[in-house]
Order: sequence, then C-alpha cells, then structure tokens
Amino acid sequence: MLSIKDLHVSIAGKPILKGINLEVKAGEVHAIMGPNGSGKSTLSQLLAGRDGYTIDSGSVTYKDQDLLELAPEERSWEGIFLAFQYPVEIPGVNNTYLLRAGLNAIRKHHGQDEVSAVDFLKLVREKAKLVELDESFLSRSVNQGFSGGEKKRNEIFQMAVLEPSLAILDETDSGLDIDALRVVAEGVNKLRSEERAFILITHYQRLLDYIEPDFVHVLSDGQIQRSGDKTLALELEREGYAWLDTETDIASEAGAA
Amino acid sequence: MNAALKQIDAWQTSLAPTLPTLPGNDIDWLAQRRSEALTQFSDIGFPTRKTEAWKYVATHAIAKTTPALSQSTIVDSTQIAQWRLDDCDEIVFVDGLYHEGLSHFTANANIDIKSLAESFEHSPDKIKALLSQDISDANDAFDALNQALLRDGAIVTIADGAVVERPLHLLFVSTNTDNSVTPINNWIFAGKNSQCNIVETYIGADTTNNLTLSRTTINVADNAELTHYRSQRESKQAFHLAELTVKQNRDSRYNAYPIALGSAIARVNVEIILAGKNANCTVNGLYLTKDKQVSDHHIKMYHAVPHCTSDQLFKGVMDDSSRAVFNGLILVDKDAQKTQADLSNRNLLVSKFADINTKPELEIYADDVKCSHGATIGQLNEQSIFYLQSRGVARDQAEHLLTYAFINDVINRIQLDALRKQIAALIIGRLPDSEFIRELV
Repeated sequence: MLSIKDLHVSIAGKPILKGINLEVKAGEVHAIMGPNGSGKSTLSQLLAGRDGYTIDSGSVTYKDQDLLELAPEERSWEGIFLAFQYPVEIPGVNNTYLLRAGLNAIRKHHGQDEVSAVDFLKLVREKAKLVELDESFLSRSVNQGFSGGEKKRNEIFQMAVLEPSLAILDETDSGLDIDALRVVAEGVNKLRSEERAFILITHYQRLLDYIEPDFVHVLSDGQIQRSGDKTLALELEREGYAWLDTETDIASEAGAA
Repeated sequence: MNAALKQIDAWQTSLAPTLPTLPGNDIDWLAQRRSEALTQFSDIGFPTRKTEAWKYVATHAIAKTTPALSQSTIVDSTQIAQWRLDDCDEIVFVDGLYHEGLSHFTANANIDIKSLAESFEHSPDKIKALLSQDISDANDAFDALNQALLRDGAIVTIADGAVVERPLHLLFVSTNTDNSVTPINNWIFAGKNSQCNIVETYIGADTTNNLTLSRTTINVADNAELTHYRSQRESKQAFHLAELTVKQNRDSRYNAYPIALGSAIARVNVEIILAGKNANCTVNGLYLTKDKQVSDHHIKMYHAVPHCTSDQLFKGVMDDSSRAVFNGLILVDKDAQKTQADLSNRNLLVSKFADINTKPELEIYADDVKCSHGATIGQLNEQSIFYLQSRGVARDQAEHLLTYAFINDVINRIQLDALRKQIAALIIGRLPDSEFIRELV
C-alpha cells in the first residue's frame, strides 16, 4: 500500500529525514517510535501533504501512485487520513458539516453518489458512540473549545466516518489520561481490518499496551535505526532511547512542523 | 485657480440654483441656514491627504463628478422586493425622498415617524428646535454640503416606556445613474424606558452612481434600549459618506451594527457620547471590500461620565486591490471614573494587493478605568487550510470557507433573523464557492 524508499527531506536547507525506508501493507499496524526531534512528525505531516518540506531524494509510492505529486485533499480522497498531534480549532465551521463535505468529496472522487442526510446522521451517531463523543460536539465548530482529550477523540471520530485506507496517528496518545487513551485505542482497534493500514507515531510505549502493532520501528536522527515486532517497544520502555546514542541536534518537532 | 478650487466652484455653481427648489425654502431661517452651509462647504473645500480625518481616502474621484441634486425616479414595489425585510415596518426613501406608496407602517401610540420634508411645512418650529440642537462639529465639507441640501429623511420618535415589538426598517434606495447627490438626514429619539430595533439600509441597483450624504442623529433617553443596524450596500459605482451621532443618557443601552459592504468609496464617521451614568454601548461592525473599493470607519467613543461601558468589535475582510481604513478612538474624560471600554479591530487580507490602515487609539484622562484596544491584521491560517484539506476539502474551497468563518461570529450576533439571513446570504454570495460555504456554516 505504502512504500517509502530512501527518503531524504529537509526544511530550509536543514536535513530532517535522512534516508527513510518503510513498507506498509494493507491490514498492518506499524508503530513508529522515537525521541523528540527524530523526525516523526515531519514524516506524518509529509505523508498527509503539508507544505514547506523539500524532498531531496527518494520516493513515496501509495497505491501505485507517486504520493508526493498529490495535493493534500487528493491524498484524503485516495484514503489517507492524518489524525493531528495538535488538531486545529476552526471557529465558524461546523464539525459535522465539514465531515459530510469530506465524506462526499471522497465518494465523488470514487464516482459514488453523495450520502443522504438521513444516512449520514445515522452514520455519525454510530461513530460518535464508538469513541464516546457526546453528540453535542457534532453541532459545534470544529474543535472549538474542545479539551485536549476531546480533540483527539474528535480526530478518531472523523477517521471512523471517513474510513481511510491508510490512517496515520500522530501522537494521538500524547496528553491523554488513561480513560481517554483507552477510548481512543478501542476506536482504533474496532477500525482495524484487512483492507486498512495504520501508522502510529508515538513517543510512549503505553499506547501499544492497547493497540498491538505488527511492527515497531525506531526513528532517530532522521533514520529508522531498528525495526522489529512489538517486543522492541517493550525493550525501549525498559531502556529508554539513550541506547540509540545519536545526537539529536535537529530542530525540535514543534519547530519542524 | 487650482484644480481643487475649480471643482468646488463647479459644485457650488451646479448646486446653488437647486437650493430655492428645496422644501421649506420659503422659510427664511431655513433658506439662510442652507445658504450658509453651502458657503461653508465651499470654504472648507474637498478634503486632501493633509486633512487628518481623510488621510487615507482620496476624494478626487468624488470631486470630479460635479453632481446635480438627485431626483426621485419612479420605482415600483417589485423592484425593491428583494431588499425588504420580513416582519418589519418599512419606511422607504427613493433617491432621498420619502415614498409613501412603498412604505408600510401603521401609526400607533408607541412610535411616530415623520418625513423631514413634510415637517418643514407642518411644524417648522419643531424642526428649527431640532436643528439648533445639532451636536455635530461641521469641519467636514461633505457634512456641510448635506446641511446645505437639507431635504428629507426620517424623524423617528419612540414614546416613553414604549416597547416596540416590530422592528422598523428605514430603506434608502438609490436609482440615479447621473452622478447626482442624495442628501439624507434622520433623527431617532428613543424615549425613556423604551425599547426598539431599527435597521437603516442603503442600497441601489448595480448601475447607480449617486453620492449619498447621510446623517443620522440619535438620542437614547434614560434607561432606553436601542438596537441599531446600519446596512450599507450601495452599488460599486456609488459613493456613500455618512455621519452617525449618538447621545446616550443615564442607564441607556445602545447596540450598533455598522455593516459596510457597498460603494466605491464608503465612509462612516461615528461619534457616540456616553453622557449619562451607567450607559452601556456595544458595537459589532463589519466591513468587506473587493475590487477597488475603499471603506473607511472613523469611530469616536466618548466616555463623558462615570460608570459607563463600551465594547466594540470590528472585523474587516479586504480582497483584490481594495482598501479599508479603521480609526477607533476611545476618549475617557477626567470625570469618567470606573469606565470600562474595549475596542478590537481584526482584519483579514485575502489578496496581496489589498490594504488596511488601522489605528485604535486611547485617550484617557481619568485614573480609575479599565480600557483595552487592539488591532490585528492577518492572512488565512495555513494550519487551518491544511487541516481542512486533509479532511478532503480542496484548497481554494478551504480558503473561501475560512474567509467566511472569520466574520461568521459577527454575523451571528445580528439578532434580527431576517436581517442576519439577508446579510449572511449576501456575503456568502460574494465569495466564490458560495454553495459549498452555505453547507458548512
């Protein structure tokens, strides 16, 4: 489904990703872990199409297309979904209506009819229940006045409605209390399927107690240093990232984003 | 003779002969007042870049027109149907003259509405008293010209204690296509303990190119509440220069919604005086410019006495090579202790050729006050655009949606359903992807 080959990316002349290789097949869950500044968020934003990155070399192929040639909205229509680390508040734009517009844009792209108002309402109610999102959030402006946990739940809710082929969760677990984390993780688990792949970007092993990954990759200094199965995450939990012994002198992730 | 003087001279020559044709000009004091005002107009001359209040707005496009006085053309009800407001009483003026046939209003004890032109004849003494109370300072050439051409307008009196349920819509329609000048003078008197909603709409078909000179003088008596919408949507060839003067008395509430969407050059000069203790003023303003429009707001909020509050929010969106000017002054007198005054001006530039000059000012002479003011100028937020794109919204649609979202909160503060829907539809209609936006807000 997704094939990243020797990807080198820089921001304003500064190398951030220094040769990433990653193969993700349908049905797989990949966890990408790593310390702050390792390039995790750059990778997730880049896959979703955020501007401001220079591709120095390498390729990203998604469903046999050159992903890097697609606009962010085209990626969305092709089934890529990014759950944001910091979901954006958009006052004045209705949460549910946005989702309907997004869903209809995807359907239109695939030559399907728009979803009827009745069917859509049924769908959002069902999916809101899945992530225990109160229905009052449906009629509010996008993320406006939502708490941190509510924003993350809203991201998973959107993902549940849009049913992407490839879902990228960028530190969705960060800042969540254990109850919210459980809800978010259960939402993800219910969406796991043979056709769908997940990339979980996370700083903590904790998320992987709830979502069992097929593969774990350790990203550091812009490269995947090690790959393995879920036991690698446990190893990281025990030993921290210090063993990587690499200077992470690149820009902080906040700055990079 | 330089060009500016030549132009003033041409205006005076063109307009002086019309003075005797104005209603009530057989009344000596009125004829004299008009004639003096015309001289004053000529003496002051057109504002230049050196005129502080007009620093950012060039008026030569107006000065070069040499207009005649507007004449009312024949308009039938179907032509103005789209501009009416449901569930309102309506007083219609066509090219500055009261049009009884298009107006609908049932006289009642709560509210009295008179045409200025008719009042000259019926109650000249009352008008004389009214004009002598004028609290404006006439340093403005266009305001002087409006006084020289003093012709018609609405005099609205809300009885003491009256709660007027039905909003009043003062609809000023322009039809002239010959660069004529349209003088309009209105008065609104909100009686003690009264409550009323009034909408002033200025509008014209796309081809009109009139110069509207409008002055509205408002007095809000003790404990009265007046909500006042001002919706300016004249054609893009028209000029609209307006004065709004408001005096608030003890415990009064005045809620203003100045909305400016139309005209090639639009200017609103607002002066609100909080003259009685515990008066409360809120202003929610909106201006949108596109193409080569220029829109100018000058606001003076004058806290003259203690314990008053004022809260102002103005939002502007400038597109293409249009320009806006915002100048908001909060003036707190030395006696006006415990004043609470806020002013916020937020601007969105959606084109790199668009321009805004904003200047919020505080002038405080009291020492126990809470005042804040601020202005922001920004572009659309890239993070928000990307977020919407990642949810499947095309980039240009996302931009147009976010432009509307920026001003949506001000529109939503309009309490009057019919007007809010009208304004929202109009603004959405101006934007590309309007159907898409309609679905998302």
